[in-house]
Amino acid sequence: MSVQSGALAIAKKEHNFWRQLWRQRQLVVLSLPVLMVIVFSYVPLWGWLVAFFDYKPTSGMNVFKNDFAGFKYFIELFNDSYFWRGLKNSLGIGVLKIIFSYVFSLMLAVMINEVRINWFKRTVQTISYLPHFVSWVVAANLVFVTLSPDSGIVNELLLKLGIIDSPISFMGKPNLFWLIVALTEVWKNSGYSAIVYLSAMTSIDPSLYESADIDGAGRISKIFNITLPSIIPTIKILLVLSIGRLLSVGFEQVYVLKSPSTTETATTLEVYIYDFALKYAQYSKGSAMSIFNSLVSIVLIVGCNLLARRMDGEGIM
Amino acid sequence: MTMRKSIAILIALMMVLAALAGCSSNPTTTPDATKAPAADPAEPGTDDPAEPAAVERDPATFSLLYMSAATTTVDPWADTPVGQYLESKTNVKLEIEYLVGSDVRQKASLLIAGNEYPDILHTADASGDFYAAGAFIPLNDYIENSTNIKNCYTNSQIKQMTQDDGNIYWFGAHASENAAYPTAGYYLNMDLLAQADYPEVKTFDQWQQLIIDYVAANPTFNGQSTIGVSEPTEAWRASAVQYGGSRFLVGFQNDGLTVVDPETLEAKIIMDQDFQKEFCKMLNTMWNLGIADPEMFMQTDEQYQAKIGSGRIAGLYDQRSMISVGLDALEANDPSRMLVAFPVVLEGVTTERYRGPRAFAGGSGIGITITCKNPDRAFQFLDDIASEELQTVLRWGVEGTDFSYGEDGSLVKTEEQWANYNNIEYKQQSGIEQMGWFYFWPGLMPFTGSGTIASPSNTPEFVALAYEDYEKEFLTHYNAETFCDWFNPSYDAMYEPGWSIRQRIDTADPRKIAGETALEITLEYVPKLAQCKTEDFDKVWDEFTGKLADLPLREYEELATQMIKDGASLYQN
Amino acid sequence: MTAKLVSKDKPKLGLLSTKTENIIFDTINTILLILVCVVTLYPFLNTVAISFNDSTDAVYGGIYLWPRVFSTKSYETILFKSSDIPYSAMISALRAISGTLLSIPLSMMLAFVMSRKDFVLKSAVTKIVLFTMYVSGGLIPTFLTYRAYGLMNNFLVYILPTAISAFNVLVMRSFIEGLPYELIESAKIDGASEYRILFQIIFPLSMPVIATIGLFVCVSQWNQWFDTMLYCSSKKGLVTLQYKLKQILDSANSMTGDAVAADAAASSASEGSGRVTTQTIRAAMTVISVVPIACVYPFLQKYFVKGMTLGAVKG
Repeated sequence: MSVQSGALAIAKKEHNFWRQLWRQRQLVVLSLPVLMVIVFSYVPLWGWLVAFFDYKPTSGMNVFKNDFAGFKYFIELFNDSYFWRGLKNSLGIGVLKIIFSYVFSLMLAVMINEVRINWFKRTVQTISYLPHFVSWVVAANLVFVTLSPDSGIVNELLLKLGIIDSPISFMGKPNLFWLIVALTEVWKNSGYSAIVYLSAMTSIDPSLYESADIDGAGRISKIFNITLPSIIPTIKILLVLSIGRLLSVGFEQVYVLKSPSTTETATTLEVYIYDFALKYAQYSKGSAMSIFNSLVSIVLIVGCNLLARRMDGEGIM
Repeated sequence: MTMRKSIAILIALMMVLAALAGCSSNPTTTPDATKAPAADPAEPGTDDPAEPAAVERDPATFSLLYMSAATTTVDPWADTPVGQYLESKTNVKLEIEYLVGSDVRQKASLLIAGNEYPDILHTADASGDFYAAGAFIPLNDYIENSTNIKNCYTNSQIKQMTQDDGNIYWFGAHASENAAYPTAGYYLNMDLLAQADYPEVKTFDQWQQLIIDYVAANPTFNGQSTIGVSEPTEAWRASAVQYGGSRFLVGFQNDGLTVVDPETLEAKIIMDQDFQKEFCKMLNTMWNLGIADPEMFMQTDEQYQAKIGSGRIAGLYDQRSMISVGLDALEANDPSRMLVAFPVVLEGVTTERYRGPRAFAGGSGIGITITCKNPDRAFQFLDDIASEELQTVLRWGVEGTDFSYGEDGSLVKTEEQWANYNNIEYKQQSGIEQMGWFYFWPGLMPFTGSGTIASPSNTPEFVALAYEDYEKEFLTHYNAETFCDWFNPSYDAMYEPGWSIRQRIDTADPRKIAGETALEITLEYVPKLAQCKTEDFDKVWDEFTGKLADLPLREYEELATQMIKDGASLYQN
Repeated sequence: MTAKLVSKDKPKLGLLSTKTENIIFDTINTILLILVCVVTLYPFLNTVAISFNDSTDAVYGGIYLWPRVFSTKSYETILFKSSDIPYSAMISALRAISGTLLSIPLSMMLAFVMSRKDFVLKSAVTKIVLFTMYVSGGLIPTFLTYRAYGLMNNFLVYILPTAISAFNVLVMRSFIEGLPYELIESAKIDGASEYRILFQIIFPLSMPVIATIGLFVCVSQWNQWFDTMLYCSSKKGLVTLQYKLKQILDSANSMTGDAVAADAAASSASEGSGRVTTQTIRAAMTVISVVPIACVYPFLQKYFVKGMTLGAVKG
C-alpha cells in the first residue's frame, strides 16, 4: 500500500510538474536560446565517441565506420607515465594559479576601493586592466627578457644588491616554472579580475561604513570586518567556477612560457594533448584525454557547488 | 530530480536536432562516388600540341591551397604582372590560399575529415596522410598525354613519383641549390677568424678550440659578454640540436632524422648514435666552461636571431636559410663579425657531405584533388603552366620589364634588372619567384629553347653579383672565389633523401609516431646533457638512451631502409 | 601581503588618531598602487615603443620605453600593404556589431529565466548552460558538425556558435538577481506577460551589465581569427581583419613551416630572405587591437563597476 501511495505521490508530483510547466510557458519560450547552446555546444559532443574507436579522419562524422576499440585508449592513457606527469603539472599549476590570482586580485580590488581621489581611482583601474589585452606571445617575450640570465633587469638588480653571485636562469629552472606561470598570470590578469570584486564592493551599503566610523573603526578593520565579508558570495562563485577549470590551466600561456629546459614541469595535460596527440594524428587518444579532462571538471564543479550550498544554502546551479 | 529532468530535456532536444540534421545534408556519403579514376585517358592533351598562347582556352576558376604561410600579403596571381600574364595566357582565374595561423597537420586533418579539398592542393609534409585518405586523382594518363609536363620529368623521376599502388598523385620537387653560400655548416665569426689569422677549419675539435680561445681573449663585445656557442631550440627549430648538427660530423648527408649508409643504404636513427653524443658533449663542454649561451634552451627563435644580429656569437651550427633574419641584421650592423660556415668533421673522418645531394623529391608536391569539378581542365592548366614560356615568366619575370632575349636566344637581365631580382620587395610586387609550387621545369637545368639555366639564382651572372665588398675581401684571405669553395661539391642523389621518406610515411603509423616521440624525448634531454656536470654526462646519456630504447625505433629504421632500397634503383641510372 | 604588513603595526597605530592612520594608510596604498600601475603599464608601453622602432634595429633588443630608431614601417606594412584591409575591417565590424546585437538579447533571456527561483526548469537550464564551460567535443568533431549545419563559408558561423557564453550569462543573472524582486511581482499583478517584464522592465534597468557584457562580446568578436581559419579561409569576402593581420604576421615569420621543411630547405634554399622581422609587426598589431579598447574603456568604466556582478552582496 505504501508503495502505491508513493507512486501516487510521484505521479502527482509529475503531474504538478507538467501543469507548472504549462503555467510558465512564457518562461519556457524565453528559455529557447538554450536550444542554441545544445546545437552548438552539445551536438559536437558526439566527438567523444572518437575515444572508443580507432578513429581515422577519413571517416568524417561516421565514427562507427572505424574499428571499435572499447576502453583501449583510456587504458593506454592510464598506463602512460607522461599522462600522469601532465596531470601532476596541470594540478600544480592550476592550484597555484587559483591561489595567487585570488589573493592578488582581491588585494588589488581592496586597494583600489580604498582610494579616495576619484581621478586616481579611475586611472589606476584603466591602467591595471590594459595588460589583459596584450597577447601571451607578447607578454612571454617580455617575461623572458626581464628574467634573462643574460643582462635581464631582475638579475642585474639582484647582482647589484649582492643577493646573488651569479645570474639565475629563472626561466630555465624546472622547479620555478609553476611559480612563474602563477606570477605572470597575476601580472597580466589581476587588474581585469579585480573588476568583479570592485563591482561587488560598490554595492555594499554605505551605512555599514558610517556606523563603523562612529564606532571608531580603523581602515584596516573596516576592510576585514565589512568589505571582505560582504563580497563573500562573489568570491565563492568565482572560486567554484575556477575550481571547475582547475585542469584547464591556460594552454597558450604555458605553451609560450615553456622551453626545452623546463619540459619536466611545464608539460601540462593540455600541452601533452597538443604535442603528442594532435601533432601526431592520435585523435582517439587525444579525445580520451579531453573526456577525462571534462569529467574531472564536472565532478569538481558539482562537488564544489554542493559544498558551497551546504555551507550557506546558496550554490550557483 | 532536476538532473533527471535536464537529461530528459536534453535528450528530447537532441533527438529533434538529430532529425533536423538528418534531413539537411549528409556529407559523408560523397567520397566514394568521386573516387573512381577520373576521365577517359584519351581526352587531355590531344587537342593541340602547339604553344599554349596559340590556343584559346575556356575560362576557368580553380582554387589552390599552398600548405605553408605566405611570404607576402600580395596575391601573386591576381595582383602581380607575372600573375596577370599567366592568367591571360592560361585563361584561368586562380584563387590562392595560404596556411594562416595553423600548422600543416591541423589543416590537413580538417581537409581530410571534411573530405572537401581545394581543386589543386600542395601536400607539404602531409603527403602520407593525403595519400592514405585518397585525396588526389591519379595523373598517370594525363602525364602520358601531356604536351609539356612529360618533358619536365625524366623516366626515373616519373617512377620516383609513383606510389605503391602504381599511380602518380602529385608532382615532386626538383633539386635546387644555393650557389653562393653552403646550405649548412659550423659557423665562425669573421672577427675570430681574423684574430686566428684565417685558419682552415677542418675538425670539430679545432672548431671548438678556436671558440674557446677567442672567448678567453675577447670576453666581452659592445659591453655584453661574448657568447661562445648558441643554438636554436624553439619548437621545430630544435632539430639543429636534436639531429641536425651531428650527422655531418661523421660525413653523412642530410637525411632527416636518420643517417643512411651510402653503401648498404641502411637507415639509422640519429638521436642515440655516438656522433650525436659527441655533439652533446661539445654543448656540455661549452656550458661548463661558461661560454655557452645561458639562454640557449629557453630562447625563442626571435631572440636567437637577435643574438646573431648583435654580433656577440662566436660560433654555431645551423642551416643558412634558417638564420637569414639574424644574418641580414648582422650585415647591416657590423659585417666584420659576419658568420662563415665550415665543413667540420670528427678527427679521422675523411669525407664530408654538407652540401648534400641534388635530389629530386617525390615525397611532396601539388596534385589535383578528387573534389575538383573539372580535372581535365585543371590538368590542362598545369600543362600550360609547364610550357617553357610560362616557366620562364614564373622565374624570370615579364619579358621587357624584367629580362630580354639575347641575340642567341638566351635570357638576359640588365644590371638594374638584377638589382630588382635581388630586392625582395620588388620580387613580391612583380610576382617573380613567388609561386614555387609551379616549378615543373628543374631549376638547375637549362631551358631547351633559350638554353639558359631555369633558376636565375643559379646562373653565373647572379653568383658574380652575389657578394658584398667585405665578403670579397674576406675571400681573398682564403684564395677562394665563393664561400662554398672549402666544401665538397654537391652531387646527384643516389637514393631518396631520408627527409622525403619521412614526409611520405602516414602520420598515424606507429613507427612514425615512435620517431617523432623520440624527438620530444631528445628535446627534453639535450638541455640536461648540456647542463649536467662533466662527470655526470655519461650517466645522463645512458638514462636518455634507456628511454629511447623503449620505443620501436628499430622498426622505423627498417621501414625507412626498405623504402630507400625500394626506390634506389630509380636514382642510379 | 601588504594588508598583513600594515596590520602588524596596528598596535602602534592604535595610539594614533584615526586621522593619522588614514594618512599613513593612504600614503602606503597610493605608493603601492602607483607601483602596480608601473608594473602593469610597462609591458604595454614597451610594446608601443617596439612597434614604432625600426624592425631590423629592434632585433638587437634593449628597447624599453622609447623607440631607438623611429619608424612607422610596421604600421605601414599592416595597414597599407594589403588592399583588402578596409574591407576585412568592415567584415570584422559587421561581425562585432551583429554578434553583440544577437548575443545580448539571447543571453538576457537565459539570464532572466535562470534568475527566476520559481521557474521549474531553472536548475536544468542553468546546468545546461554552465556545463558548456567545461565540455568540448574536440576540434575536428566540432568542425564537422558546423559544416553539416551548412556554416562553411557562411557569415553566420561567426555569430551563432559564440552567441551564448556561460560566463556572460552568469554575470547577467547575478545582476538581475540583484534587482528588487518586487518589480517583477507588481508587474505580474498588473497582468504583464513575462516578455514584457523582461524587455520593458528588466532590460532598461540592466543597462550597466548590458554595456559591460556588450563590450566584452564586441571585443572578443573583433579579435577572432581562428573561426575564419576553420570555416571561411577559402572565401575572400568573409575574411576578417584579425585573420588578415595574422596572415601578415605569419608571412613576416614564414621561413619554412615545420621540421621536415627545415630538412628540405637544405636542398631548396634558393628562395630569398629579407623579411621584416616579426617582433615589431606583432607589437604594432597589439597596439592596433588595444587602442580602440583603451579609448572606449574609460567611458564605459562606470558601467563596468556596476555591471560586473557575480553573486549577491551581503548586508
